[in-house]
Amino acid sequence: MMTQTAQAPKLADDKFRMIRDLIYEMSGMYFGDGKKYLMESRLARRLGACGLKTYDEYYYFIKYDPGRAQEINRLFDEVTINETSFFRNPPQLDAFAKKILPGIVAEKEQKNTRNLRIWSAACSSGEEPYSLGIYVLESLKFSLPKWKVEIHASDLSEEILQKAKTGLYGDNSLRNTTPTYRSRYFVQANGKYAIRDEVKQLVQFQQINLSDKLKMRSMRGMDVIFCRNVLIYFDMESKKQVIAHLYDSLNPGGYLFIGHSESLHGVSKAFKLVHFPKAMVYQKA
Amino acid sequence: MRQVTKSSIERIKDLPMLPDIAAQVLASVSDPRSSMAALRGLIERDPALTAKLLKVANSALFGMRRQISTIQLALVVLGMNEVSSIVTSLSVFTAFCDMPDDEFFDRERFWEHSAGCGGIARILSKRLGLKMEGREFVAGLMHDVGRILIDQYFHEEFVEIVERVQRGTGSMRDAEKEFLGASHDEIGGWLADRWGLPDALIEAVACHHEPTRAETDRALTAVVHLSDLLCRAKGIGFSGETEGFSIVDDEAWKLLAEDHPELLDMDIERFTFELDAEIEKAMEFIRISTNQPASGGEEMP
Ligand SMILES: C[S@@+](CC[C@H](N)C(=O)[O-])C[C@H]1O[C@@H](n2cnc3c(N)ncnc32)[C@H](O)[C@@H]1O
Repeated sequence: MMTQTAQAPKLADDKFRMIRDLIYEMSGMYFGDGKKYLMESRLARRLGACGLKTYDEYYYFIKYDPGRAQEINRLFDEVTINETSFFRNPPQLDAFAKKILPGIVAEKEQKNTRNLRIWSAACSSGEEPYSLGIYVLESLKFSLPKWKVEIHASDLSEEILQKAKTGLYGDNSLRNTTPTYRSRYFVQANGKYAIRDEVKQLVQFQQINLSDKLKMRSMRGMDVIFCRNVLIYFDMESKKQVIAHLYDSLNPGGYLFIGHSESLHGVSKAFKLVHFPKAMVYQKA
Repeated sequence: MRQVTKSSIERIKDLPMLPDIAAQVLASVSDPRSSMAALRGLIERDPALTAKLLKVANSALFGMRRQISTIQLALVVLGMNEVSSIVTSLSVFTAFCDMPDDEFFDRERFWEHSAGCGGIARILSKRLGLKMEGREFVAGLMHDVGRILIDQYFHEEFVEIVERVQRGTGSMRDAEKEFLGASHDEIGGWLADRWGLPDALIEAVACHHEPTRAETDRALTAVVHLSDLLCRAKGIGFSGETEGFSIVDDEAWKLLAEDHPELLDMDIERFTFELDAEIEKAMEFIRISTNQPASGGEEMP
């Protein structure tokens, strides 16, 4: 890391802002001023790979070059964290577990309609939907038998879904997991952690491409949807379509989570933006 | 139960007071006959204040391109009102710096929230093209000082209020009204009044929870109200108490949008992301006021 930073050409503040703004325009992903040094080393690698010398050249390349699409995807892969984990981005999960879920549960208790439908729409190897399952168990506790809980989890990749269904994880996946939750919801064997059945049985996996209109239309009546860190892979038109589908999948008053540094500004006006501590969530009106 | 009133606050013997120099600066600025030279003389008589003021003027909060090396230059570049606001902000810290922490009240977090709120108020007013000349920063910094007074002078009640809020039965303000007959916003407003601060500032502190009550400077109060919310949204403050909120549904937002329709198209997500940098600038203000060494931040090699 040290050497890489040392070799990276210096990224001036104004160039950083230019590229940051362009990335935001293209993907809705925002990099704050504090991310400048991280960006410098990551961009330097892309510069090298493209055989370009200055950040200016790189900027014009990703903005105007006819073959830019491929490079843009590589850039996004470079500057984002592709790796998922349990309890990724704690403030978002706090908003879900401490504010949103109790609200939904109380409302449904009152209406006497004890069902919960949650969807993790780009679930990768399963850490996200299982984390949500753990929170549902923590929240419902002994009243769980009175509830019908469905956590739907989907991804584009069949391969990763197989891994998710296995439910076996290494230390790295559990880096945000407290000792209490480790012992309560995992069985440890041979240096691996297996998610316990009580969590596993809440989650049902299926393959869904977010661009697949037919499958998307089959997902209905969701209380909460997580669609985090995947929208950057879509261009504006397809993103609008995906978001419109997710909107239709939600119950009135339901919530949509996207990646913590992502934004739907300019993508959809249908949702109401709700601020929670360190987390912005979209609510279906 | 004790009943806290304006006069009971004013009767407190060791009530934190605005330093003389700040009172004189405020008087000088509001006096139409006074001159820039007089104001400069006043400030320069206090070398410690002069040094801090120049540090603040040269900090990221103002983002000046050239070095402001003298009070004279600060007055010319920033204007008398802005300089007076900096003096008042610095004085808030001087007035409260001796008040120690206690187990029910984390003062460091309190000032982070207060200064963060000031920093957000600053960028929000700038974004709207409102010329608030630093009043928004002072008001943000002071909006919750009533809480310190309650903790310091009505400690038993303070503890009961905190415990009530922790049990999750009702808001801080309701508990304050129940145990003291007055809430921290009112109490803070009384202090601002006692200090002789301008009416708009008193009002912004006193009405920051009910911005539609403001009459003197509705925009200032609205800006402070929203900054308080946004600062909590950034996780700086008393997060246990923070429920989700929609900024466009907020009455202060609607009030501002009447005069600034551009708010209706504002990229609120991006604005929220950008606040991190503004809050960092406000933290620099705390470090200067309390004589802490500057943080390495981005300038380090
Ligand atoms: C970075 S992971 C995000 C995992 C998890 N949501 C998180 O935030 O930690 C991105 C996932 O999106 C999936 N993905 C990419 N394109 C997709 C598409 N068109 N439809 C569904 N999933 C897709 C990938 O297979 C990958 O598992």
